[in-house]
Amino acid sequence: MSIYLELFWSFFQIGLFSIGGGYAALPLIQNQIVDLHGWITLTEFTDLITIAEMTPGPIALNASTFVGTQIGGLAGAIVATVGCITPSCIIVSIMAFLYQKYKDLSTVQGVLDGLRPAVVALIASAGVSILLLALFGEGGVSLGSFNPVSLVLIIAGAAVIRKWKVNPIWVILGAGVLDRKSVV
Amino acid sequence: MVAAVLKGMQAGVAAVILDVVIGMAGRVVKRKEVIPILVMLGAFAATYFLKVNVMYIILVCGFLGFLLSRRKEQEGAQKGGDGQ
Repeated sequence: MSIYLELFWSFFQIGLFSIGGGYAALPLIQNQIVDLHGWITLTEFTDLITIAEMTPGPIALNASTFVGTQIGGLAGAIVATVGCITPSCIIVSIMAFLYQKYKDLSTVQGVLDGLRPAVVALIASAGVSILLLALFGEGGVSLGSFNPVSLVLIIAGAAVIRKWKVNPIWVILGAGVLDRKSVV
Repeated sequence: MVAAVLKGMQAGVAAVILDVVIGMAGRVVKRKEVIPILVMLGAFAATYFLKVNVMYIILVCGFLGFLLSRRKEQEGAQKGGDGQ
């Protein structure tokens, strides 16, 4: 299969299944792009989240453009981005049509209610991968590679967001700056 | 240079996702319903430990939600049709 078809199909699936918005796309992107195709590493995936946080638009969309560019240049970016938005265009059009007709979406609501706890679990799973990467680096979990500075930054960062509801991007940037300072 | 700063930001990204997960999981637990909590734990085990494809988990859980909402509706109808 050509690389463009693969890109389109991968991001079509991501677009189709990233229900719940925002971070709900992370486990799917990780699954498709890192685990299944190996297009980017887990480190690059984490960088991608940082970049996606710094730029406007949903993470899934930023991811498709980013990975598309890396894999297939401008054409790859377009193919991946179109692939990502196609499912929701189709589904939302159908929904809008049905909504006009029936105005009763309790079944859809039921499906979404059932998905909510699962989405939490999926985000948590992607989160654990990223957590371990930040704590131990790419070599995997071992005592020698443990990074105590990261542990402090993670706990402090999460506490700051919890307590003061600051924009996540400041926590990410702050962690980057503080980590540098501690190394130099 | 960019790589070095991005490396430092990993901890920040981890912190953000940790916060998102704590918030979302907290909301599920606060409902104090057994099934959503079990679904959450089961879905985590399936994806993290058993490496089940994310798409199957979403399909199964969506279908489960569909069945549960159907059952609730029927119960509601039997109790005099007052909805939930």
